[in-house]
Amino acid sequence: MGDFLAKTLLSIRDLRVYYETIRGYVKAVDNANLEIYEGERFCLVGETGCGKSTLALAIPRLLPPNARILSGSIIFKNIDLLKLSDSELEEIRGRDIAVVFQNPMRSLNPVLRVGPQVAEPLVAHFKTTWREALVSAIKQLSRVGIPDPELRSRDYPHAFSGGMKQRAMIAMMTTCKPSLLIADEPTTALDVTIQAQVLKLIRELKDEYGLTLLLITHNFGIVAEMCDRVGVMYAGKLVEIGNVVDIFDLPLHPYTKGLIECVVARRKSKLRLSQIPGAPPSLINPPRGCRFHPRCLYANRRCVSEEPQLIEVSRGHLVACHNYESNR
Amino acid sequence: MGLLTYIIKKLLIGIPVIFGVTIILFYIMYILPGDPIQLLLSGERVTPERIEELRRAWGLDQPVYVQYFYWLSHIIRGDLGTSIVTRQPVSLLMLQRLPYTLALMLTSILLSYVIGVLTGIITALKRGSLIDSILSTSSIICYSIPGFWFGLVLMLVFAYYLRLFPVSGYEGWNSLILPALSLALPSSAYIMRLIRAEMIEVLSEDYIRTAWAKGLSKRRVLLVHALRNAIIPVVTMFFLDLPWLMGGAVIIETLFALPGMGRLLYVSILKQDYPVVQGIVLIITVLTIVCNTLGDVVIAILDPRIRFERGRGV
Amino acid sequence: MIYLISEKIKLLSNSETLKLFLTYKRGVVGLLLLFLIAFLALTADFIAPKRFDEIDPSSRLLPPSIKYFFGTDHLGRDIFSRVVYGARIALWVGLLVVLVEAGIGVPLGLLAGFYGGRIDKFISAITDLIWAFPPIILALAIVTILGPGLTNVVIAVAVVSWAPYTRVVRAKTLSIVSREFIIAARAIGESSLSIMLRYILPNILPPIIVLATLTIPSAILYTTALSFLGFGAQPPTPDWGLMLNEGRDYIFMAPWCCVFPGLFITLTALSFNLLGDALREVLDPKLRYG
Repeated sequence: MGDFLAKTLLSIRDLRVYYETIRGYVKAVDNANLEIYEGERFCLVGETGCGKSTLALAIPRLLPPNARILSGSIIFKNIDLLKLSDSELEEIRGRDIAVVFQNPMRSLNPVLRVGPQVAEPLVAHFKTTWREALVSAIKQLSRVGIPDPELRSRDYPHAFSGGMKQRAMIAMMTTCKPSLLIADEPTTALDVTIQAQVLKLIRELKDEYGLTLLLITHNFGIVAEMCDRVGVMYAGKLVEIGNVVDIFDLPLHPYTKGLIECVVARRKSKLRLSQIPGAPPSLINPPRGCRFHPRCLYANRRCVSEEPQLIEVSRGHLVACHNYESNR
Repeated sequence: MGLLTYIIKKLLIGIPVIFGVTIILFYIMYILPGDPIQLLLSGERVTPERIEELRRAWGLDQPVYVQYFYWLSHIIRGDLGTSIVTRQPVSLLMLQRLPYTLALMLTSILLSYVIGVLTGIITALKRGSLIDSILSTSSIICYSIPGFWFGLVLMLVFAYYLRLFPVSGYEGWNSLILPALSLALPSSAYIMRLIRAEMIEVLSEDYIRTAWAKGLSKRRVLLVHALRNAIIPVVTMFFLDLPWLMGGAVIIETLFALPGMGRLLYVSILKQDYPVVQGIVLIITVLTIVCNTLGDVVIAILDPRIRFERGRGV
Repeated sequence: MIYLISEKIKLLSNSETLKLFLTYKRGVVGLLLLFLIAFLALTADFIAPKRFDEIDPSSRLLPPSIKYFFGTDHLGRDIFSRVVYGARIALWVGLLVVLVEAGIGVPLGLLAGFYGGRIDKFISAITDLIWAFPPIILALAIVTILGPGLTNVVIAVAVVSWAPYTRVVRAKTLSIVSREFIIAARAIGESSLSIMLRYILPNILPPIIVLATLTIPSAILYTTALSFLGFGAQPPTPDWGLMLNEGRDYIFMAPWCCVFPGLFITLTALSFNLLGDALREVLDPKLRYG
């Protein structure tokens, strides 16, 4: 896990993604800078609406039609993904970069059988015959823990339960053994009992296929369980990045601190879980300076006028806050 | 439930409906004003005894339900009565005309679906663009145009002035183009709007995003994933459209003097040739019910969710 | 109940809705077109140079000119005058058909939605059955039984096309009937009829109005089709469909006899279709952002 030894798989530089709406531009991702290393498990955490999904889905360019990628670059294996044409991107999607979405209920085509849907990427990318691809698909369904895979492959999606649908999705997206697997809140829509199983499956597949995992979640419990490195987002900005151990032991950004204290009663005498006062700001007109300052206990004049940049405080630990020293 | 069970269920419901409708039909014909015997003998001078004799021979002195069964037994054997005007069996008359009407309807369906689906997909993909505006406005104009007037205009311009097609009557495939266009006009406009709306909705669904995420080609995503879903209501509409086309055929065939069943119906009504009218209406009724049942069956085949009684999806 | 209806109308015509409507170019065009045709219909007596039945054998089949804007027909009648008077008939017939359609369809839909169960199944079955049958043929059958004439055509067309009203009203009623204020009204002991009139009817008015606008075109198209076949209006009525029938024999030597009446049928149907389309988008918020 030595950061300076690992190779960078994905490098996001100065990314800005805005959504065009009737009321104005929603600045969903503003100047994001991020590196993801080969073979690691990276978690992107934040509240709903903070831009983490937008950031992640900008990588394979699977954003809604009103999204505009205004600037920046996303370098994946020495290629800038943002400069690729649609047909060039087609080759990378599903084969090198795969995505597991949040809502499995609606993510499978209801009028096609499951087997062909899982087999499709193989045929599209490796030009196998359908027969071969279906055999592989059945094997993959078995690998993700679906019983009677041959029978099930002939079913339609509505015959699958939520957990099974998500497993099928995972099977679908890993058949081509991608380098990067983006999982956008893969368990949020599932029952609690199923959540653990699916997360375990993702971990296993990661190890087995040696893929890099980018996991999006709002749940710090999942972060603790699943990740090596964490990126915390607030209101469209990355506010802290670091090792999972560092982040939990010593959160530098007030927001991160607040988040962790929300879910973890710390050893130091906190008896109740605390809340962060206030609500996330509108992204059409975000606050000037540091976007968190209206809710921050430590905010001073500098926070209101000057936007903090991400600074590397210690090895691998970056934070965007003017007062991180006094926060310890 | 399985597909087969569903189909059988639908078919079983269809049969009593057909029977019920034949009863209603027969009763309507029965209470129509006008004495069939008088019509039969129109013009001839007969004695009251002769009239009574004929009445008994035709079974018209029997109670209603007996007459119904008598009539039904003939129908099942394919005997739909005899035309008053031409003295030929009604079934023969209809069979002679059927191919022309079928040809007209088939050509018209082909035209309207090809035009409708293509323009629907284009406008859905290029939503908000100039071509979308033009096509959408054109479609509203198209279903505001009366078919019979459109036919007249086509006849005037393409048959008379430009001499590209025969003006009327049947002279080979050429004669079907203008009538089929007239019939297809409103249909194609409706189909375009329907496909456009459905495609737009389907393209915003999550499973389409999944298809893009898999790196499938644009063609595959649009045709195999999107269109396959969007076309479901259109296919259903197809079966419900068929009866409408039968009705439209009456007007168009009359206009272009095509020797089809529609024109036969019109002419028979004018000449008060009731056995023919009754026969045609009966067949159309049966066909309507068959079309509806087929529509239900086909949508069940295309959309596996429908087969589950509890409703769609999970 | 009048109060509730007037409240709904006020809601419909408040300035925001109006302003939004004005942004729909098609709707505005439709409305203007409709005004034009209504204007023709209302001022027919003043605008028409001749009476619609004024025969002039010496001026048969003359092409359009300054004296005869749209030319003359086979009896020497001024086609422009006939078309203008025909607007009256078209609008009047369209309105009548819709009134009868709604008169049949709305109560049926109310009953089906309100009572549910077997009544609903029965009404829905009959509605679906009649709707499935080829409308022109059914209308022809009804006109055959009743006899030719505009009144009978109105009845025939209305009988053939009431189904959309029943469906829409039924759906809306079903969605309202489960709400609490209905249950409360029942608890107080309000009669079913009273509930239907006071609570449900005012709420289903907007979709009915939109539906009416959208079904007038098909009413006009069907009635003129039946007149074209000779079963509707009888001579010398200046019904546009009848004019097409009469002009058909002379289409090649005097195309104006057919072109102008049919053009106006198209324009009238078009105006209602454009208007109804825009109304539907304005009044249904879901469609607006689609």
